[in-house]
Amino acid sequence: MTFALQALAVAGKDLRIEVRGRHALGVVLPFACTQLIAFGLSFGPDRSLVAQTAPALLWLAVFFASVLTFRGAYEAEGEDGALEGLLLAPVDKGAVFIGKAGAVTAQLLSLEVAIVLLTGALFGVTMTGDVPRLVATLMLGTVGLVSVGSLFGVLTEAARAREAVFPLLVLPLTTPVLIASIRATALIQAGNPADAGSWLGLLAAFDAVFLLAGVTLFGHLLED
Amino acid sequence: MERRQTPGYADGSRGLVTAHVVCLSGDVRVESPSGRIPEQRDALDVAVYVLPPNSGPAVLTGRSSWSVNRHYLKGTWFRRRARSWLTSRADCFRLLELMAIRHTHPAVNLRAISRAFGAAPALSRITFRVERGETVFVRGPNGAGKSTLLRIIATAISPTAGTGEVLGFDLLAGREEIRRRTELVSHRTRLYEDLTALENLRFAAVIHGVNPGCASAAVEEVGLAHVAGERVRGFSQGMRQRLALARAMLRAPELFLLDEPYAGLDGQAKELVDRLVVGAQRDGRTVLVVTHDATRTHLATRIVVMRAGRLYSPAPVVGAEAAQP
Repeated sequence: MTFALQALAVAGKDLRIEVRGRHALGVVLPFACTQLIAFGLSFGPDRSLVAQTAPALLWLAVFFASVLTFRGAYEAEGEDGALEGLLLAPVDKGAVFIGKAGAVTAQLLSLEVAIVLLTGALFGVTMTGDVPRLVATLMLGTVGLVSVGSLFGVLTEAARAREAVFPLLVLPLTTPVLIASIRATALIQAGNPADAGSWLGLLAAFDAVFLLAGVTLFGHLLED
Repeated sequence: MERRQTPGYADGSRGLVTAHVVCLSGDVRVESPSGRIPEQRDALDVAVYVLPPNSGPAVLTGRSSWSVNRHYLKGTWFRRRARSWLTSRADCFRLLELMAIRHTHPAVNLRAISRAFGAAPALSRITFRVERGETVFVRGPNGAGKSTLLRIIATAISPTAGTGEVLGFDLLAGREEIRRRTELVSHRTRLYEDLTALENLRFAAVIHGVNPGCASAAVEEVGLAHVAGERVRGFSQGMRQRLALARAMLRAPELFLLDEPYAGLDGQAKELVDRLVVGAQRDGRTVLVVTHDATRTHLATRIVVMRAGRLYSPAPVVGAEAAQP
């Protein structure tokens, strides 16, 4: 079986589990909404300040949503030793990484549609000035978060305090992604989408490096 | 990939065997048009593809028998493309003999293997050899290190010290090859709770390179056809164990590693495990069973006893119960 088919099988399995468990809909989305509302309230009635910080708030909500989504994705693997099944299967471990990352990307992108709309509605900002570039930013930023998260998700699966360890590991590594995504989104929101190109380039480079690292290292991290 | 099916061969031999062969490196996959290898030797109609290297068919010598081959063909796999053909039935026999060379290695050959979890030793300098085709039962009290031994052989965990080979492959360097040829059934069933029984088996089939269409038959085989469409989350431990057995049945590994396979099973399900063990014995495969169930030891060709991380001298099967701790 080819790499792509193996990755598709893993992604399909993860998405099916997600649809059945409704983790994204029932846990992550309400959490992200609550977070956005809390952010909005914390700035008080100053609408201009909220408008300026909207891209940052959006990406912080996406980041915390991604942390929860990863927990959901690896919880299913840990419930009855299923991760060991993947380890012992004659499957390309790089394909497992891509499959898991693909499933989480799909979930996060669906959530981001809701988060973007909610951010616009709550803070009175227009995020959709340049839809293609906004979509590119969301996709590249999400792949960056996901590539790091998928890699370290498996590393922290066995950790006793994994809920605490995972964000601590992931946050420093995803800081470049968050900064680039926030800056690109802010430029698009401000009506200067052409200036976002360099940030998108940075995101693409980051994604390539961490996707490659994931494909290469995931198998080693799975091993005892 | 080009294929050819030949009712007879250039050398005048007759039969339905179709051997499509590249050259040898030991990894082979066999296919038949129906997707299954028929049980009757006369109906055997297979295509054999062998991995690189780069030249034509290797020079092959020796003979082989269909009974051995049929088992061997079922359990072996390939990944690359065929480059040339074997053009005679005799070549096919010789190829199969060459493939069987790996059978000269013992199934398990561990030397001074130790494993510690933190400061606590689980295995202490275990030396253990299992020949091909043996059915070995490992017995001993809780915490003796039996499961750790099985997990090291399955390459789920690595030894802290010592070396060894499984099916002729090094425990560390040949991990992927070992995994391709072994199946570990443990008390952790490795099932996905939010998938149905059938979905779990189909996914296992796909990642093991087995036809997912076999999943339905496997579910039926273990008596779970009536709940095949239900999520595993609602299953009892016994039903989960049955499903794990069905997953093992999907494959035909050269080495079965069964960790407490009888635990939590009713009489009918225990017979399923027996059938799995007896079927593997009949096919000449190797089985290693860790169990406390003294009523099943008649299936063993050898019983070994573990205690406090050490392996004690093999007890004979006849009167084996006297040797139990």
